Amino acid sequence: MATDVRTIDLGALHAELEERVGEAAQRLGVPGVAIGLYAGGQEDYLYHGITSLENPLAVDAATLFQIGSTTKTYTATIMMMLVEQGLVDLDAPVRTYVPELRLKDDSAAQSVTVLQLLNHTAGWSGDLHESTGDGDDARERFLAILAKATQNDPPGKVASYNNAAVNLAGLVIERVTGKTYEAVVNEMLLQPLGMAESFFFLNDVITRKFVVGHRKRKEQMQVTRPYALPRAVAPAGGIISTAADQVRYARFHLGDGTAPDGSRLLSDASLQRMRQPTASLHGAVLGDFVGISWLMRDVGGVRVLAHGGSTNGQQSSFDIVPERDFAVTILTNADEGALLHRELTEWILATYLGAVEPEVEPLPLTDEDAEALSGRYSAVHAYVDVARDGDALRLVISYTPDGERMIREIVGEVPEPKPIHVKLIPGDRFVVVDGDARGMKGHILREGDAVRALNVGGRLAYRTTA
Amino acid sequence: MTTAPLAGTSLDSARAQEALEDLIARHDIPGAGFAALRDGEVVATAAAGVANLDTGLRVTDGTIWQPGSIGKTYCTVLVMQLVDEGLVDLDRPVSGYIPGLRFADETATRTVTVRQLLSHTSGIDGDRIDETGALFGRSDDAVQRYVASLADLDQIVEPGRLWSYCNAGYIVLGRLVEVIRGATYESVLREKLLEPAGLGNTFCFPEEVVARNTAVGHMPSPDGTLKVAPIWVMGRSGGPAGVVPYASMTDLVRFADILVRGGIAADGTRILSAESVAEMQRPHAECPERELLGGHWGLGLLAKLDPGPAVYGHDGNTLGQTAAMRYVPERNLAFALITNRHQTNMLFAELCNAIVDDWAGITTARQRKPVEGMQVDASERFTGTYANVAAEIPVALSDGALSMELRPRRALAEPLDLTPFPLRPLDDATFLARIDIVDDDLQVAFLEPDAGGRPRYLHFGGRLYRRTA
Repeated sequence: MATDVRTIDLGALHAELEERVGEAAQRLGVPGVAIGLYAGGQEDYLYHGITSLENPLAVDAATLFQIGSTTKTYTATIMMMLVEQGLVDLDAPVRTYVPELRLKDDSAAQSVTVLQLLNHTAGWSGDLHESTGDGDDARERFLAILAKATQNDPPGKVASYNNAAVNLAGLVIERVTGKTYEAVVNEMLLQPLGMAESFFFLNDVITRKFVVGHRKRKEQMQVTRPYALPRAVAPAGGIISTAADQVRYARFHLGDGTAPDGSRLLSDASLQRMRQPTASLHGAVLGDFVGISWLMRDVGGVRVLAHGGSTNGQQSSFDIVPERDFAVTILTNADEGALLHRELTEWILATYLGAVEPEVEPLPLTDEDAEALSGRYSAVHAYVDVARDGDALRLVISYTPDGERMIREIVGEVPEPKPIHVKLIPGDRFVVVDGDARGMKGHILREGDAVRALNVGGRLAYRTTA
Repeated sequence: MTTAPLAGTSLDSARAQEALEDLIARHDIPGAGFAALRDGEVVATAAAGVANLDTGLRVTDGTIWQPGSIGKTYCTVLVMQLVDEGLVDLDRPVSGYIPGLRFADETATRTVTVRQLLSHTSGIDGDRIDETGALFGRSDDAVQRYVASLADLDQIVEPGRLWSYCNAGYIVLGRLVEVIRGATYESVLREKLLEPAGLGNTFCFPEEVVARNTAVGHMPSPDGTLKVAPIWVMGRSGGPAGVVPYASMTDLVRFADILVRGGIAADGTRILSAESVAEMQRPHAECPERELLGGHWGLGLLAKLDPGPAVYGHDGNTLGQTAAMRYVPERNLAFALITNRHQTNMLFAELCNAIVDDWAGITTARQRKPVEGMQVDASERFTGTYANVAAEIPVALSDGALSMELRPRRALAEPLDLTPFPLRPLDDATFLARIDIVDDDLQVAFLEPDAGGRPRYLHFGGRLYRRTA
């Protein structure tokens, strides 16, 4: 429990933060970083590096980053506003608003609720990345793709990261408002919050200063292409924004539901409701619990609400701490930025808030567990092969032919499968002990004594018989 | 016919760079690109200024631009490939190829041919463009939806008689390509032209160019300061009329080189038959803008035939970028200029006179200027109001001086000058209008006098306007 409630002085810590950002960016090869901090009325910003290795411009206050899945919280916020307007019931079946919803499993299509779209418990495989074009009907056309989604669990049972469900939530928003998702977000959230530098469309990005993604290929950091923004996915990850605009958004969620001009956008009760745990994340990589879109974890007893983002070569974090009136967002233009924002967020929470999560001692690996866990697991486009390696388990992730094709389409190439090692920790979880993902936690889903699935990177991979 | 001596008149990148930098400095242009090619080799490139005034990104040889309506020449190549394959007959009505195609005029629907669309002689009142995509969207059916909306598009003149630049006509041609190939316009462009010709720096979608050095357009605001043009992604339905492709200057001249070589790409791949290229270059109509656009039009190409050698090409204007491409088959060369400032067309001649004409052995004419003190008898007969689907032009006489106004019929994204332009005579039916906002004189021609000597048509900016009052 954090007993010392420090007065946070952002200015005093700026120089050290700047040094740390510079060092981490250099070490990890991240070309550009923008950080926005808010603490009890103060704001602080830090800009580092360049927008693109090919066409370098200095990262500054006007620079646009893809915030990726932080957008999911915008979608959820809009949904809460529509609930308050009496247009949506969170516990109503999605078919109330989208009667023609089809899934492979018809009982799931019948029963899945709006809430279950916003807390990753919809139960189908959620990484459905087929393009549905760039028209206003992109989410409508997505219904045809959803109809092919494999149902892994009945809705509401387990949390497994689900992008497709949030796209569907976006369609619900479109159906009840009669407007496009982007127009609704603009009208109901971006404009009232004075977020004039947040966009969905390429036309707004291409005329401004923006970062492009980067990834290390063959030991060299390179620009990633495409700068992907498939329209169907806008509700799950489409916003492009600045650090300052993200801080405006954070301040809204830290406030009482009013806009800067005093007009009420959302009741305080609804803001709070979004923070009530609705499903367990088992202390794995995404956190302890999910609320209504918020991924929540306790760091040294301090409750942190989060939602970072991950696009083609841009990685970002977004963390707010209501009990300390604090927020930090770290936007980067490289895949390796994920390591940077994890390291820095950990340091920032510890240094600014005194919030530190104690290290967990790994458990010895019993023969029983090794036996129960070894084997092959499959996720929608990938396999995870697990085998004992001394006191640890070795995991190798490989892709199905379809998965490889999709990854090539989105990312341009298929990464080399690199084995990672994990050790067991309390709570039926495991922790990665080597490589870039070191420290990342996953968890084991059992049915009786048998291992049913592994949560790896937030998604469930199910035990196959092979 | 003169053939200028070629020995000793060289053009290299250093010379081009100097001239380009001088041009943009004198005319307050943010950035520009230039490339010249001869005998299949790029001999000079130049890249000056910034691609975007707000971000300061510098123009390089790799910068991707919006060549605008030069895209119509690409569209023409795709149509002529269909002719080569025996899938299209230029002189058949286009409605025979596109089921359900209808224009407002029944005769036009039945008789407008593919050839007439290619040569801007269909007479369709054609300046309808979905600039932002708000009307017809950005899905694969954008071109189809646009073409379906033409049922209320009238004629400005009967088919086959007069030349009037027609964007709608080219979008119909794009739809022709889509219907016959069974694929989207962009995919045909890529498969049938860009890939076989090795044009790797030419693109069809904004998503492909966003993570590159991409130039944005600039337009003067009412107070005269230059601002980044707010619309870069233009409506997808305009693709065949020139919204696509996006290209580097080097790729643009390498495309022109295909036509220089009679239809063959640099690596020997045949893109088009020599007969089709010849047909594209054959003059099909007279074009009143002799200095600006050469005086004749072929298929997808302007043609300047007199004095020789023959120069072919196309201009392009988007919201904030101005492009010109020319090639001279007789000299085996091609060149192109683009700026990211709105409507700088008149500077092309200036640059050509400075560094291209001697090298190419051509003479690029500047706009004729009025002769001092010239009077035109019975100026009264020009007065009245002329109109087309895009705008209305009232012409008035005051104190013996003619003037015209340009009144658009819908909100435009571009800046406008709504004050009257004085008209000064070039000859007894052609005038120059002084347009301050582009710092230039544009030609106004009066055509087809009726029995009373009053012109029935006004030709301005490439388009016909018909007398309504």
